Amino acid sequence: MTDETALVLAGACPALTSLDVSRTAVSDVGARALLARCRALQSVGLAASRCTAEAIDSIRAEAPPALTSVDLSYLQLAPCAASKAAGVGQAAATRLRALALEGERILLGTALHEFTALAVLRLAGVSADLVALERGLAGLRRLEDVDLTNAGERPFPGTRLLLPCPALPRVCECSIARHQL
Amino acid sequence: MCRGLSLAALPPAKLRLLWGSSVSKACADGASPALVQELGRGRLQQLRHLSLRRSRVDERALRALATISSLEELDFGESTLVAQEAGLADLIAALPRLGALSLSACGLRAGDALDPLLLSIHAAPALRDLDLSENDVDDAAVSRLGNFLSRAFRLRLTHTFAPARTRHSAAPPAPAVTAPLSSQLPVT
Repeated sequence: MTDETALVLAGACPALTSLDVSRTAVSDVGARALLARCRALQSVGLAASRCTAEAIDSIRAEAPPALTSVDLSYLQLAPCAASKAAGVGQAAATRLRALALEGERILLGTALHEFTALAVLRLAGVSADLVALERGLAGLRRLEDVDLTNAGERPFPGTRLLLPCPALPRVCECSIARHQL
Repeated sequence: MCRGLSLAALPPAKLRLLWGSSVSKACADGASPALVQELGRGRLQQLRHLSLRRSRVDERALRALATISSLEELDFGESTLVAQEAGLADLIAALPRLGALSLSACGLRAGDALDPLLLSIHAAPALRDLDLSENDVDDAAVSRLGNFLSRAFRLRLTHTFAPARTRHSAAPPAPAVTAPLSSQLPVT
């Protein structure tokens, strides 16, 4: 699937509520068109597509009002773009309930604090400063399902990850495989 | 993962014990065409969810499934569909309550053969959720599908192939296969 098809779908299917075009050749052009025209979208999957930071800008600027789930995994973003992905945009961030950024080179900082409604967070394989990661997680009081498999600093240092469990009272699913606790 | 009653390992004699029961969700992953036909014979008129992942389904099996008019969700993911598109179109037309259909990695091919299937999807009154991931459906087919989807719809098109001119430079595959993120949202 390419941008041409995404443009057709955007024009022909404004009522789409969920669209997953992960692992296709859709790029920023297609993503922008879909976000702009499909205003009923609640969930969008762009993982391992050809999208770059521009698609993240589109989400910042034009997130459909009902959007609650975004998958931006494996986009091979540069660190600065990955940080932007972690922010996505305050307007969208405050209503997103599911976010996947697996495999990204993330410099989280405090960006995760923006996602106050998150219930599901997929960060497997992200490269992150652990202190920042812990701080980011600590603010997510509605998290129920978090995947931190192989998340950590690179090169992998025998990762120490102090999950702020008291700060995550609702987490019932948590994967922290490949960490040395 | 199917959490319904698992049927594929049952011998036909045991399977028949279910006939007339009120089973609403069943899993027959890895089923043979014979088992699928047997399911159809059972007239499980309260069966609403059926998983037939990694099964082998031929035209007679599809005709048998068409008798279970109560079906609302049908998962053919990774199955070998011997009957292919025409038989599927007839099945969809026969299931008025079908709301979710997964045809991921079923070997669907691009081209005119998809048209009957696309038409039946368009005509299916209750269909709201369609998974066509990991099939060789090209841009033209997806575009035709788009023209049919004027209602609220959930659509999965992951790993559908790009045209030949871009296929070699397609995006890298994701290393992990996971359920779509939206399906992992907790139920509230």
